[in-house]
Amino acid sequence: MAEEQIPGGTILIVEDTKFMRLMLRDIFERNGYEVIGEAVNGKEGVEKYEELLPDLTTLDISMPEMDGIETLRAIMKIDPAAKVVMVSAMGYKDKIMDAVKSGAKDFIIKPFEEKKVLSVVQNILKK
Amino acid sequence: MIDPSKYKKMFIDETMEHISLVNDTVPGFEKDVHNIEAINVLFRSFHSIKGMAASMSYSHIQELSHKLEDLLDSLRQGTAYDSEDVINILYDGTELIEKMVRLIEEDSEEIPDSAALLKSISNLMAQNSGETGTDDQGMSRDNTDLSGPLSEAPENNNVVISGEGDISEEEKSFRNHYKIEVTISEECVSAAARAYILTGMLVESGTIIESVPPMSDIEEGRVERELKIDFGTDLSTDDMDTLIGSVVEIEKYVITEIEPKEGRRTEDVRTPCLVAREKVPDEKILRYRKPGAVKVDTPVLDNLINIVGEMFIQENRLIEITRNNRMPETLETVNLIQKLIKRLYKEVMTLRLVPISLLTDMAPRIKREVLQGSEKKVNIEITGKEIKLDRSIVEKLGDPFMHLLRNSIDHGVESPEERIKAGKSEEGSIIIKTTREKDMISIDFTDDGKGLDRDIIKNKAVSCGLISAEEAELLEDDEIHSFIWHPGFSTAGEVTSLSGRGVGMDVVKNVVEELGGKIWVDSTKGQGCSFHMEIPMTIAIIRTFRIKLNDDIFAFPLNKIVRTIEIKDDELIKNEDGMHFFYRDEKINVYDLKDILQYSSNGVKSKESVAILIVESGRESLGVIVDSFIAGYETVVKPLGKPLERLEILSGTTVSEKGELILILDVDKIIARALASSNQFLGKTGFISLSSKE
Repeated sequence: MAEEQIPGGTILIVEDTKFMRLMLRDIFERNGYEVIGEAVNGKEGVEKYEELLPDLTTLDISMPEMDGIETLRAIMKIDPAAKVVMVSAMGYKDKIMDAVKSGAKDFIIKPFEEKKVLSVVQNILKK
Repeated sequence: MIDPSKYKKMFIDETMEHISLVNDTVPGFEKDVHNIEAINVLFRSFHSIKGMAASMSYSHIQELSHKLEDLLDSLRQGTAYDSEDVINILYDGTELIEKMVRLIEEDSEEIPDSAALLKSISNLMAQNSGETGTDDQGMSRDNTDLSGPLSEAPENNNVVISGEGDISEEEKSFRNHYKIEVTISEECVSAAARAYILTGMLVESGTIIESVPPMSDIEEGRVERELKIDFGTDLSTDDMDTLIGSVVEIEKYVITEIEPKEGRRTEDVRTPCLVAREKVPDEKILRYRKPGAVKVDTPVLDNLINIVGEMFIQENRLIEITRNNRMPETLETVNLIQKLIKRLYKEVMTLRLVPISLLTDMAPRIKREVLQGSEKKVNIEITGKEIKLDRSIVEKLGDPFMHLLRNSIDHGVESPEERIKAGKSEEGSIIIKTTREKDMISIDFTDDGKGLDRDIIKNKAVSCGLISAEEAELLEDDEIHSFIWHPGFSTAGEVTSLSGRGVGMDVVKNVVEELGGKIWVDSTKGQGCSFHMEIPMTIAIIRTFRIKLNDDIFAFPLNKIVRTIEIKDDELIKNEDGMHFFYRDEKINVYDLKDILQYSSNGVKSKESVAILIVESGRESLGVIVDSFIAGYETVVKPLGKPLERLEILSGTTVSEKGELILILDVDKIIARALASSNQFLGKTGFISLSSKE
């Protein structure tokens, strides 16, 4: 059986909005990344991270119950080398800074610009 | 590029989900406007709506949801507001967003005016606090999409070579030394985080010798948009260019090499080099947008259904012809066509489906309206609101729905004192549950209020002359309750527990029955009341089952048939009470369809077995004897012509494959007649619930 070459890498999407999950998934899959999992909240995000160990995780900053920062910290605890990109809307300046200081590799802002999202992801994954 | 049209449906669906969630949450929030959990739920919903709207470039929705988000945020920060103001704004805002979404769904260009509401939110916030919780500028920045100049290429590589540079003394361990000047884009939400990421990246491949602002400030987030960094590294100029060029949200950067170190080959960099990049923000690139959904008017959908219906009829005929002429090859194609028509039918029907949430989402507002100025407390729980049914059915159900709900709130649920006296919790509960079984949708309204009062209804029925006092004593509770469906019965104000808002219960019943549905009530005095409604999910085409009486063919709606059974003559037990047989130990009363239809028999008794159709309606089920079964068919129901309309035992007509008219029987009416014939002593009033037409 021929192994399929995956140019991009594996991605886990942690995001409570279906709409945003689909948008991200579309962007990634269109560009050769493999979305290996989706989680709809932080708790599930941590579980899936542990289970799937993706190359990169996108993490929504604002989610019910366990928010993005808490989730990020939990993931970084499991895997200090985790490559996590925060996903946020406008108006979360402080939280983004918190996230970045807590180990997030970068952040992307809704509404997504495909090019920007890809630059961020490529940049992180090539390292 | 992201193509927004693809996401439109999802945007609509998910935004509506959030609107539902908001509608569900506001009532709880009403009790306590500082309930942090409710605030968070509401905040997140508006936040999500905002994010999606921004992605779709629906700036009006974005703006409004952003404003509502701001209000909730300031509430979250502990700002004290007049709770009624906040609630009203939330309701109005949600309603307006819903309207905006509906217009988008209809592909309308219309944008409802939200200026007044935005202003009242601003005013409210200004009155109560000096500042708003979130970053308001984010909004204006958001809207730059497409407004900028066109650019021929996303990147504009102006490489300028110049001879500027200083020598630093701290370049010992690195081959190269650069001065980097970076301007972070204005659009970057967090320049601080961007600076932090950039410097973090640099540190991985070199040393930051010095920076402005200093690293300690960068780490603390004290950064404007400009950064100057002295950087020692082994990377070449090209590598540096690639590295910094890969960082997003950088408007401009200049990399200056400060004198190459000794021993380094310099043929490619003859002079200190300056790389400068002006990045063009992506939004400035004009995008072609594909048109989104196609708008289809409802009449077109109706035509489509008619056409598909005709196709069903012709298909049935085609199959028969093919079989009769033994054309196996043709039959194969015909079967394929049959499958395609079925698919087409499904698609057409799907186009017409809308969620019941269009109705249930009104519940919080109806509650608010009914309870205005009342001390009553009511919790409404809604389940199954995602279940879909035909648009026209939902439209017609609007009035009955509102009426039933108003009734439950207004007259079902008692005041807090009464409830406590009755040993119930202070807050009344109303559950609206929608479920689907095959092609039928059930909607149940259940309240835990005072329930229907047998005596009041009975007295009213007697005083209206519907029944004599003696007869009334013989009736079961259910039968007494069924008087509420009688026209004109619901006007007696408080005593009947029925709200007189122009729509009576008889109208509710009529609408439901016109839709081919059924409604009945279950109530226990003091414990509450349940209205059960069963309606078909779709209109126009139903599956029917055909039977024969003498040489005539009749059809029954398949969804009313429990099963068909043929029993031996001697299994049918006849006595003075009528006929019955036992099916799996259950006694089933049986009636002859010919008697019910007053249809004369041709006297032919061909078989030793009896063909029985077990039909049901609401909670009643019974068997009807027919001459023989034919088969199930897809059928387009045509409205009855004028003379036939008077025959209440028919619900419609259809056309056979051979072009003959087939009458479709109304199972509810059949059951009503059957029961009435065997319960003569109850007279005409006993089954008002099954035959409302006078």
